[in-house]
Amino acid sequence: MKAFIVTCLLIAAIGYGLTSFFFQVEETEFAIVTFFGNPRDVYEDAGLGFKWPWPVEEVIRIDRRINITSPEENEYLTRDKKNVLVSFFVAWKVKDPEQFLVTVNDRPGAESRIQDIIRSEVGAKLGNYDLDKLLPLTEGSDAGGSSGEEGESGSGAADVDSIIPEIMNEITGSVAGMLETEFGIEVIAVRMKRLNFPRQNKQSVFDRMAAERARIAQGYRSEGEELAEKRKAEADRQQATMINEAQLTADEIRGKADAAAARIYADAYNQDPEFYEFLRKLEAYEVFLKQNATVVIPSDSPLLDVFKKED
Amino acid sequence: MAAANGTGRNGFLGRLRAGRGAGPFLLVVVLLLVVLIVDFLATGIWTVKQDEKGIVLRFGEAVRSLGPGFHVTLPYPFETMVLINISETRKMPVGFRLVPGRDPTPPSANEREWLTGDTNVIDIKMMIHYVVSDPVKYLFRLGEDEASFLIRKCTESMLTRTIATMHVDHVFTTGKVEIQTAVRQGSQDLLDEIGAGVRILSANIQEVSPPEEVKSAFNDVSRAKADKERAVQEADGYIKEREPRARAQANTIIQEARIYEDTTVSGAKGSANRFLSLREEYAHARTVTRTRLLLETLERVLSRTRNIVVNPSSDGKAQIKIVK
Repeated sequence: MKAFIVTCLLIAAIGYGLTSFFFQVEETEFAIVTFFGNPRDVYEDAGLGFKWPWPVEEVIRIDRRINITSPEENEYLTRDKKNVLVSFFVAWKVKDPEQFLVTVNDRPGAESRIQDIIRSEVGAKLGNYDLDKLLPLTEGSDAGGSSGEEGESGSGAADVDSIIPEIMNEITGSVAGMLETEFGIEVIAVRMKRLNFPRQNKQSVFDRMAAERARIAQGYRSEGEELAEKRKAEADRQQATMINEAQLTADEIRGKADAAAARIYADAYNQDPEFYEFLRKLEAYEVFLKQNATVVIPSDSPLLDVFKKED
Repeated sequence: MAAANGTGRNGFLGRLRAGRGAGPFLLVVVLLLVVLIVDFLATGIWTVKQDEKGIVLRFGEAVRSLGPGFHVTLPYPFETMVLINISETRKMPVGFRLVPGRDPTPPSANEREWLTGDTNVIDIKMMIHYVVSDPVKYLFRLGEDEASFLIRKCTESMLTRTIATMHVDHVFTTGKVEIQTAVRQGSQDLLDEIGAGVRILSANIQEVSPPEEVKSAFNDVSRAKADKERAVQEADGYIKEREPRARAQANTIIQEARIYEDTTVSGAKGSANRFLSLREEYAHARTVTRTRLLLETLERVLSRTRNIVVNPSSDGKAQIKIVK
């Protein structure tokens, strides 16, 4: 029984020893061993570490993973004095845990420093460029009507480039060195997350958008009218041509018919012109001596010579 | 034994032993030890499922990764294992959210809106599908939460950058595929650079819409397009209706001319024939026919006129006799 108790005590002692003399360093962290508060050793790799028990030595753990810091958007001025709302994110990690611990202590501390530094850098950089460098299709771009929609933007998307990536690379480059030497922080990337207009400027943007849409809509409607008119006019013209051509053909037919008739008459009458003249005169009498006309006949007219003989 | 008996009287074990005796107590202790040891060893027995990967950590250090199956490691606290699902397709909404996340701002205009290259504000909703491609990097370089957060941020930055070079009409019409490709590739490049251990399967635009404030203006453009179509169709209808009418009119004109032709020619033929047959008769009896024709005509003509017969007397006085 005694032996059993001794064993139990031994196990307990070993357990205590293990937990106070040894510590585990995770894959996700650095461990700093401090001797009465002063950093003695830094464990940069995961595994087992040794330390003297509390209160002689302590372990401070610092996350070694990549942190994504994404502060709220901020208002900046471009060179042409346009207000823009920009937000960015930073991917960073602790490079020198000891320096990190001494200068900024923990993640919130680091984040506030990073934010301040990058914000001022973004402000300085944006102040060097006009808005149309960020948004290269601003103004002058004539996206009106359907022609702009097809031709302009199809090629425009490939041709133009925004300065945004360049600016962000410059910012990354200029803050990286400083953050590393001062705080032991490695900046992996700074990217612009959003670009927008501040709330108070947005209404004018919306007004402009609406006006532009109205112009495009008007363009479509006018184009429709134009097309319709054009088609109608063209059709009307074609129809008029068709009728005129028919009229022409008809006249030709009539002319030919008259000619044919004249020939027929001439052929016939030529056989006896004197008789034709006689007949034609008779016909003419019938026509020009109408009803109610008064005819004066001399009594010695051959028509009345019958009476003469009886007298 | 007696000493132990004496000292243990106050404790729980002591009371237990005093009541039950030494035999059963030892048995209980041994059983307890056995259970503890089995339990201890059992912490080194693992099953990795079909779609999982197991990362073995020795004192926190990733030493090996294991595929699906039954595995034995050293027991806790020497070794432990982290299981991660590597075939599950994970989703990350951008421009909207499935559940509230850890962004500093709630879903707002600033989360939905992007600026196009021609300074138009538009709303875009995108869905990113991704899988874990490198479990060790995924778990230990960023951590799950940070990795998914990073994916959203990468997508947002790629969208901002891509759309800043596009016309608003391009975004709404043919630009979607272009945007999706740019976002997928650009985000993947950045994720690889950071070493996030994820692979983006697809970046799909779910919705592109104008902001609420200008929606009606955009809708009016669609209506205007329809109006244009309609105007053209109406014109076509007008043409379709008018065309046959014109053709019919042209046809009528020609047919009338043909009728004229027929009547004129046959009229001429008739007259000619009549003349010729009359002439034949006339040739037989010239004087009689001539007189007959003359008298018949005079008869017809004078029967409908007022006739005055004047006697041309020598004294110059006219004797008027009205016939009829």
